[in-house]
Amino acid sequence: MANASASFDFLFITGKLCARFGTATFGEIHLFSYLGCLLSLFRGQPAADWGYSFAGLDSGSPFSAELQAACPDLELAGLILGEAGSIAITPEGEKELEFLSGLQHFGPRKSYLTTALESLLSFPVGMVRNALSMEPGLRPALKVGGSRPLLEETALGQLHEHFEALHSALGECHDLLVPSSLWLTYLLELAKEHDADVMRHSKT
Amino acid sequence: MRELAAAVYSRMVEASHGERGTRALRALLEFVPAFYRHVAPETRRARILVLKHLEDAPLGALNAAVQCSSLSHMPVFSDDEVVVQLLQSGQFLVSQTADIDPVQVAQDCVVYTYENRTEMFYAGSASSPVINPAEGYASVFAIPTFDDLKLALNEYRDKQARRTSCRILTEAWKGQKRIIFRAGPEPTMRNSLAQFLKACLRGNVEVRPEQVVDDSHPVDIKVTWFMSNRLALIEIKWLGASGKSTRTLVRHGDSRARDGAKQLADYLDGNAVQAPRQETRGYLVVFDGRRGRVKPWTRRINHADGFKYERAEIVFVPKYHETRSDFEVPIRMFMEPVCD
Repeated sequence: MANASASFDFLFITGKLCARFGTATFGEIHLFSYLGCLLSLFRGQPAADWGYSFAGLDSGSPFSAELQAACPDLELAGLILGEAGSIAITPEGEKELEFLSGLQHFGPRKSYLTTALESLLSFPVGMVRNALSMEPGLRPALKVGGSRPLLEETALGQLHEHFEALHSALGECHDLLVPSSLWLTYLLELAKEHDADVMRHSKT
Repeated sequence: MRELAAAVYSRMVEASHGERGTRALRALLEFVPAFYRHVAPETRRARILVLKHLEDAPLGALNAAVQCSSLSHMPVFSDDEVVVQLLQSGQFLVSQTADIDPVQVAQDCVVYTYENRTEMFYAGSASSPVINPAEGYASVFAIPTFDDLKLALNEYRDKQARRTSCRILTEAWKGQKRIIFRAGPEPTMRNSLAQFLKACLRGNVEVRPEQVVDDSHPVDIKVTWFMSNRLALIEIKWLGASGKSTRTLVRHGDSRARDGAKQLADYLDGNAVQAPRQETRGYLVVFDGRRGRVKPWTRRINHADGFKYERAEIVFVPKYHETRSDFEVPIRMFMEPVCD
């Protein structure tokens, strides 16, 4: 049986990305869903409340099997169209999304996903991807290689250290866009250092 | 993190104007990248100022402004300063004569300015610079996004390599006139291109510099498309002269590019053995800094010598791009010097 949260997230992110770029891609859907989940953790929600799990791929990208499994059902229902890795929301999908977005049940996750997608206001999608590959869960996957489950105890501990540093640097902020922007800026700095390391170790 | 927090403009806007401020900021952040698709910031010598009033009140200084309903309806701009006020209706006011002090209007507005590659946001009595992590672009809001690798490489050729607009790439040259490369410029070129692709390519993509294809073949950049079997190998070669001292130069001409093509064909063969199920394409990128009559001590160059090779296309023998289906047409990126 399909995971309702994953189905909603898939449709919601696809709808927003289509509005911005015309299409969505699987990688972006997994990316923004994971960022939304991390923002919910920042606001104090337990990881288990997100409703589905993630793994880190050795490319430094997040992946959720539940989210991916939502795709065929949505396609079969005529809510999305997929072609050669690109996904588009259909008019029926937009109607369904409008209906689902009005449900109280999805209210909190909608706000986290919205802020995750709003990172595109400040950074191009490639930079969001690079930044997120440096968060404590994904960074080991990128550095050492091999897929691994995300939001495990060690990574969660490090993640909360990041969040404490964010709280301490920013104080009280109501708009989640503020900590989200600072965190991505910080992770981009880490990505820059990582790239410089790769360069130092490469051939001359 | 504290240092970075001081430069996070959304924080400054929220602290100054609260929720109304962050709403206005979102409107500005939606507008500015769209505006830059019509007006390239690097071509503007005077300031660009975009503002959103918290109460949506048109500024008196913009009484004579042109009201536009879409970006395609904007007037043609002179070299003077451009001032834009966003309105709640989705329309906006444009003026090139209004004299606006961002600090003053920020009491009731959120203001964005761009001038000489420096971007600022103003709100209340505070201001905050915009951190631009993209070395090669005048504004973080002007970075294009590509679905297609070839289009991205063409953009890099035209906007980054041609006039060495990318700050990383400036390090490949020995001097500001861009006549002779520093010794061993290839890693710098690779880094510049890899950073560009990382920022600009959308989709399920991962860009990694210096990846081993098989035991003996490290390729300059590997682009992997996540959840598909697509893979791109990018080999980089440079043409021109490079040198550490004022006595000797290392020179690379056409044959270097042909060697690169052979090397890339070998990588593709090696990769086909290692990963037969992958659909791999090879891209040869040639940074062309060739100049006429360059000596180790050359510090200045005239137009004829500087642009001698501008249109000197390389003849590839064999033409892998015609005989192999996995080999793209090589991309030569002529790099302009600064001539006398």
